[in-house]
Amino acid sequence: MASGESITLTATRYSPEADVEPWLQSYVIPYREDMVVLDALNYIKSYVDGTLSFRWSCRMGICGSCGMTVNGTPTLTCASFLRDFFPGEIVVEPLANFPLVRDLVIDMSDFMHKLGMVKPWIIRDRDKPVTEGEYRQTPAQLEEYQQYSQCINCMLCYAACPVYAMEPEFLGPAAIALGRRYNLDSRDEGALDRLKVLATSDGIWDCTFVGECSVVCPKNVDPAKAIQQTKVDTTIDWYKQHLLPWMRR
Amino acid sequence: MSQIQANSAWVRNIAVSPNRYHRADEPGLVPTWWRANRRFALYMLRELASVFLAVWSLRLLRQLNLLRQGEEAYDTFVAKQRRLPWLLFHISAFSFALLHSVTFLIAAGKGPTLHFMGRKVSERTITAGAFAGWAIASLAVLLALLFGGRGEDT
Ligand code: SF4
Ligand code: FES
Repeated sequence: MASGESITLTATRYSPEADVEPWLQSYVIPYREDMVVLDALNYIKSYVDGTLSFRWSCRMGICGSCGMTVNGTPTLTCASFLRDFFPGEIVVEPLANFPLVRDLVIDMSDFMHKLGMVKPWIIRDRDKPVTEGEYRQTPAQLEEYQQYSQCINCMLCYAACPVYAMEPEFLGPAAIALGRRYNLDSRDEGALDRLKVLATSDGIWDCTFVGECSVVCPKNVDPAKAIQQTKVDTTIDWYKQHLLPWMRR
Repeated sequence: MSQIQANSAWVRNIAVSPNRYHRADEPGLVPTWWRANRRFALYMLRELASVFLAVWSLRLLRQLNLLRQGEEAYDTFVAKQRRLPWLLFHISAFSFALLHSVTFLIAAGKGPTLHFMGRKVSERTITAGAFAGWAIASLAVLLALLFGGRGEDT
C-alpha cells in the first residue's frame, strides 16, 4: 500500500439556490490503493468539505444508489478503484440524461415512473389459495429470466443511452429488461398487459441498438439483449396473428 | 410527459466530460457525442452504411432498368462503373456492407430465444451459427456467379 501519496478528485458542484449553472471543484486527498471512488467522496465529505452531496447506501454494489459519471463513464462509485486512475486525476460528475438536483445527486423520478409502467411484479389472473402451497419453478424456468432479475436499478444504462438523451419519452433499458424479466417468469400472467407498454414506439421500437447500456451495466443484465429479444418475439407474434392466426398462442 | 421535459433543471450531456450541461427542456445530445468512445463511433459508421447501401441499390435499379434500353445503353453504363470515382464508391459500399454484416451478425446472438433439448441455446452459439450461415450463403452466391453465368460477360 502506498502511503503519503495524494490524488486529485474533481467533482461537479451545483446548488440551485446559489449557482446559475453547475461548476467543477477539485480536492486533493490522500491516496490508498484499496480506496474506491465512493471512499474518496466520503473522505471529502467527512474531512474536507461537508457540503458535497451524493447518494450511496450499501457500499457493495447492491443498492444501485451510488451511480455517477467517473471520467466520462457511467459507473458504480463503490465498485470503481482509485488505483485504476492513479496517478491521473478523477473527474466525478452526476449521471447524464437526468435533471440535476444538487452536486452529484440527480432526479430519478422519470426512471421511477417508467419502472412502474412495466409493472415489475408478479401479476396473476387468480391467486392460488395459500393452502395450495407455493408457486414452484424448475431450474430451467428460473434460468429463463434470472439474468434480467439481477438489475439493481442503478440507472447507469439510462446515462449511457444516446436514444434516451435524444428522446426522453423512451422507456429505457432497465425498465424494458425488468418488464421482460416478469414476462418470462412462469408464475406470471401479465405479459399481454406489459406488452402494451413495451411493444410501442416509445418502448422497444425506439431502441436503435447502440448497445452501450449492456457495456456499462455492472450486473451483466444485458438490457440490449432484453430489448432485441422482445423485438423478435413480438414480431413473430405479429406474423402469427396476421398471417397464421390458427398458430396464435 | 417525461420528467426530463417537464423539469427545467440542468442535465449533464451524455459522453461529454468534464462538466457540460444543457437545460432539461432542450435537446440533450451534443453533435460530437459519438466521438466519446470507439463503440459509439462504430455505431455511427454502422448507421452511415445505410447511405452507401441505399445509393448502391438505386444504382442497381438503374442498371436493371437499362437492360430494357438495349445492349449499347447497358454497356455504356457498365463502362462508366469502371472509372475511378465509381470504383472508389464500390469499394466504400462493399466495406460498409461488410461492416454492417459483421456487426449485425455479432448482434444476432442477442435476438432470438432458442431452445435445444430443453436448454437455452447460448448467444455465442447463435452468433456462430449466423456466421456459418453467412459463409455458406456467400459461397453459394460466389459459385453461382463463377459457374452459373455465361462466362464471357464483364
Ligand atoms: S440494467 Fe444494469 S445498468 Fe441498467 S439499471 Fe439495471 S443494473 Fe443498472
Ligand atoms: S453504494 Fe450501493 S451500489 Fe454502490
